[in-house]
Amino acid sequence: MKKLPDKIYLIVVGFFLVGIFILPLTWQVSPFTISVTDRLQGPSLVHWLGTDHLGRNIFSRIIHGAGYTVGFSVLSIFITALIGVPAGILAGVKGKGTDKFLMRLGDAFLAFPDFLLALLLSAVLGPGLFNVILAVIFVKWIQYSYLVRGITREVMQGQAVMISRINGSSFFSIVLYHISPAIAGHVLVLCTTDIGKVMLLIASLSYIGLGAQPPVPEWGAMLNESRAYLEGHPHLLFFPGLAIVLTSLLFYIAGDKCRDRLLKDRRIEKEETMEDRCYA
Amino acid sequence: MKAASRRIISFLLFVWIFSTISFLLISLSPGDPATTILRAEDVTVTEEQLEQVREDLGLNEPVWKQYIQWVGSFLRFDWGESYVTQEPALKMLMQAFPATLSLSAGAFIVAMGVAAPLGVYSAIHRGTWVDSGARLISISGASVPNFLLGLFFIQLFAVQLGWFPSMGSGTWWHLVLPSLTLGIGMSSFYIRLIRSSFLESMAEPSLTAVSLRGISKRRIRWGYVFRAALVPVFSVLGVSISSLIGGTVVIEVVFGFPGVGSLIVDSITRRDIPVIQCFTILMIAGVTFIQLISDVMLRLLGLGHYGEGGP
Repeated sequence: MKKLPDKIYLIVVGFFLVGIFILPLTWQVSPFTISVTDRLQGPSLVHWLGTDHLGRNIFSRIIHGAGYTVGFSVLSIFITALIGVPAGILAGVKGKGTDKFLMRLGDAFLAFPDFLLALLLSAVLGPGLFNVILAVIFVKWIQYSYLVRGITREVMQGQAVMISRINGSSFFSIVLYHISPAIAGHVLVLCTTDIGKVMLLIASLSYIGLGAQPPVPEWGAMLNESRAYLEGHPHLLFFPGLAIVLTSLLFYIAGDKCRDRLLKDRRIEKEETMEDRCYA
Repeated sequence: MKAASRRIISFLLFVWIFSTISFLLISLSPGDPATTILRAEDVTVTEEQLEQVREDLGLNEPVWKQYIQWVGSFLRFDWGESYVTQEPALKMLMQAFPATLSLSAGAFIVAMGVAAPLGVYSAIHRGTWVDSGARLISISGASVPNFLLGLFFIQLFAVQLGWFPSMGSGTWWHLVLPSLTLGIGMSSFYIRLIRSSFLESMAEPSLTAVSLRGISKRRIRWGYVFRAALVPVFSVLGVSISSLIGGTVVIEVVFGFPGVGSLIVDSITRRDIPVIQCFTILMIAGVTFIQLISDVMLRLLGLGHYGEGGP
């Protein structure tokens, strides 16, 4: 894992993300077609990864499930960043009251683990993927704000911004030319590592039956459905499980690579920055 | 002292706000409790009966009246009865709590038992095979979800080898697999944290001065570095205890362990609102309380970064 050039990771992740959105469109085998005669078959040429207890094609289900497991985690982190980053910039630039208000608000959100919040939301709104996304946004936006705020404050105290302000730059041009280049790398790293975590969250909640609901081929939900077949037909659980592990590993390593590459100058010896410590 | 009282006040405020929100959301949410209750009794439901039950529960009153009633009974520790079993919700949760507590304690012991030696060792002997091994464990721990690890352990230790029971609870043997699963999952994060914070405090410039004064390497390591390395570990402990509670939910469902987690998941699927409400409030209070405690601990250890005037 040491010597592989970063480009290969980039290509793999790129292919993977494109594949998630293209494959379900082109793959003609439906993930929902039930065929009782074909049930519980092992891997073969017709059914690459075998069929599940209702005779549905597992390979097709995994491909379509990627859109749920990975797609939804990408979406939720995207929205989170969309809320958290501007809030952080605002707090960092304005300072004083705005800063205090936002950070106080954030403390309240930070106190709550995302899993519990997702649990409570599904208690209130009924089980579903939407709750998980809502919970992720609620809990995570403040971490982006904290991160961005810290860097923004640093940048704002620098000479470049001072000179630029003396020359009459507006708020937006300072954000555009001074702040956004400074935060882009950090936010990207945080996003990449978070996507993997949210994926696991979605899969876990679906597994205990509070996320995606059965006919949907979400990976955790697939595992939940085939729980009873662990003994006789382990391939029902093996392939979705493998998909989850490989994908989150991919995002984890991608996050690590991004970090090494983009944040090289900021820390030589340290493995973990303070912003990582928000997690547990 | 001032900081402490301020935090206690904000703690109470926080609990109040969140419990009110949870009340509002649950009382406004779709689904009719009356139907749930009558369905649990397994009789054919008539409109009259529904109306009767709604009247008994005070569901026909306006929301603000319900709220006042709810706060009143809340303060009297009368936290409602389960729609399904008709038992007090608080009692149900309290009965399930010891099992969850023992599971969390077990997981915590496993996590620390794995993470502390591995983290410290891999920080001191950087670049050795133990270090790479610890790294591998922490990477795979971060990408394998707990429930999958649990399923794997069930298959391996319970089904194939038959060493431990896979389901249920009661004896210590039942506790082994769940706490092992949860603990190993948790340890991946702590290995990294302990390693990096140990490395960080080893690079502290003040240590040069300490060693120039002739203090032995061993004492520096355990007296200075280790103490300083504990700060970040303690400060995430509060957060991680609450995420441990989240972790127990999944593990309890996987292993069919009758704790708070499986109770609450059952209640959610059955829409047993009083139990959910009770759980919500206890959870919010618990999570914020743990955070309060971990702050106090940090201050007592003289490592605090909270409050004015320093430690």
